[in-house]
Amino acid sequence: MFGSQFKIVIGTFVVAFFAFVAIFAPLLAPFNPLSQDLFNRLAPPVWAERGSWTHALGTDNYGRDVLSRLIYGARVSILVGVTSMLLSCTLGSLCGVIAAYRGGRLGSFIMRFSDAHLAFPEILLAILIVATLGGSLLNIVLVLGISSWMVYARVVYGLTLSLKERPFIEAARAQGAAGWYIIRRHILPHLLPMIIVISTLQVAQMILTETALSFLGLGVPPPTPSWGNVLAEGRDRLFVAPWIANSAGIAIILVVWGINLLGNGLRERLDPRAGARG
Amino acid sequence: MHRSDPNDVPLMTVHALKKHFPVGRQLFSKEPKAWLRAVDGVDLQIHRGRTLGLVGESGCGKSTLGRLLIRLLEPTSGAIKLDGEEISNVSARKLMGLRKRFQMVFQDPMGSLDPRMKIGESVAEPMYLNGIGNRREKVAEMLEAVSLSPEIANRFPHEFSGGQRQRICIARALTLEPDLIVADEPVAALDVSVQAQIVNLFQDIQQKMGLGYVFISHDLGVVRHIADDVAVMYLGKIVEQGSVKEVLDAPAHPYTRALVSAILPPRPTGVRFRPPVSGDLPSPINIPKGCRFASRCPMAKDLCREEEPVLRRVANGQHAACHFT
Repeated sequence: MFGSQFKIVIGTFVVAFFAFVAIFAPLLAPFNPLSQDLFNRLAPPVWAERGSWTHALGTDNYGRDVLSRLIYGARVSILVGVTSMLLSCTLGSLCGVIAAYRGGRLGSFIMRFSDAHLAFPEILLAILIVATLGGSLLNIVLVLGISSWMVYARVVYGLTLSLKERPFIEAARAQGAAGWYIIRRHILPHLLPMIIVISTLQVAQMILTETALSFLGLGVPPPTPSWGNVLAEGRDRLFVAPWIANSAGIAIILVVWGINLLGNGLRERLDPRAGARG
Repeated sequence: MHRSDPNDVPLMTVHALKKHFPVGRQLFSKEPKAWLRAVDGVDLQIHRGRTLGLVGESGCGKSTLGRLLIRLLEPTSGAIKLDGEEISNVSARKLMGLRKRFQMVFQDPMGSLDPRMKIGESVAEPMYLNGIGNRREKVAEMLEAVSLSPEIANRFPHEFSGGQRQRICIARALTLEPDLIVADEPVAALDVSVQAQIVNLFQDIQQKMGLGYVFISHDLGVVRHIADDVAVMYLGKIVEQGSVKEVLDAPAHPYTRALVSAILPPRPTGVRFRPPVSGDLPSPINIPKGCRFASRCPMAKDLCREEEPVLRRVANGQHAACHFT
């Protein structure tokens, strides 16, 4: 539908916008996201009747400014999304490549382990980890990172199995290349487009899962504003104050859309066979 | 050192080389169900400045043999000597140093270049792996040596035709200035007009650099054109070898005779007699007793089914493994 150039530009713009917001949250947020104003609870946003620019997106159940909470929430959500994606991506890709390239018992063990893990409910694992280690930002990243490495492992495993039989791998071996060099130089570049696409989808997925965990009380502990917390708190007041959940929802949709657009654009660009370059 | 005397020390000597692949797996046992005897006792000599044509039908083990020669596969047993030095059991570290002395050109020029690497990177890779500097100049020099413009170094393989890609592969194999190039069906995937160009390129390079070739092919016409010596393989063994003239003009082994008579003549006139070769290659997992060719040989006798013939001298430098020549 769009050219890869367009996708990359728009995607980068959206992602950069949210990254900017997250980095400069203290300068951008009009209020302290934690300060309550009980005389000003559930103030409507600027477009509603009686709304004002003071609280552009209204206030929540405790009179906290929703816009400020979202701006600070961007920090938590993006940080959790990206770091947990990096963790699972590294873990999963490494396992997949090793399992396929080495093969043998180690390979079967890794893949059977990933099958077993796939059958294990993510939420149960999250409860297990949070219950034993306690809820904190780091633990959320760990939970999310560990619980989705299998996706990468499986895809990378399949791709590597077919890649390692390609003649150029044999050619490289004939030139004296071995092990890690072949993986780094000849296998990873072919995996990268796929990994990028999965990763972008995963960042979005991670942000959503973080939301779900926060909603269950297993995520970032309140009152820390994460988009998940804001969404969960908004749910209780969905009929009275729909702007709370809606604002958080729109923020999530926007960032997920932007990341996916960027990912798709990059995938098209990284494939050297895909049409005109530059 | 062009066209050196075949009597001096050979570049590579192969003795009783075997490669058996395990087939299937048995429960509770380390022994496989069977062994596929792809290469089953081969003796060869490869000389500097000369080309050895390795011919045979699909599945006779000629590609496996080629891969054994450059140590891409571990031999099951046997000896490979490079300049008189045993290399079939050297350590991985030592092998690394030896790699630059033998290179391979593969059948599929589309597949043997990494589609994500620029031509320049691909051609420079063997030098990078062997820690050789000044790669950019050498790449340009090698691309020119195979009649390609050095400017293509920044382009990707998919922008080139099959013949051009094979030239690139040859340039890559030449960067380390090897003594031996094993070419596994290097022209089989190319158009006939391009085949001639590539074969001529191989010959030009040999004349300039004096290296030895092992040219694996099933096309006797191409082999006759490029090779000095021929070895005919059947089911993992060499059944006849000698100079191109001897073997292809006066084949001694019935299998070679069948191969030669299967070449289509340039002018298809007259009736040609050919000894019939029927049936398929027996399975290399279940090699028949006696002569390997007996099941398809028009002149097989009882002796052939009992006793395996050895390579015997039949003419000047020509050897054949048949009881009746």
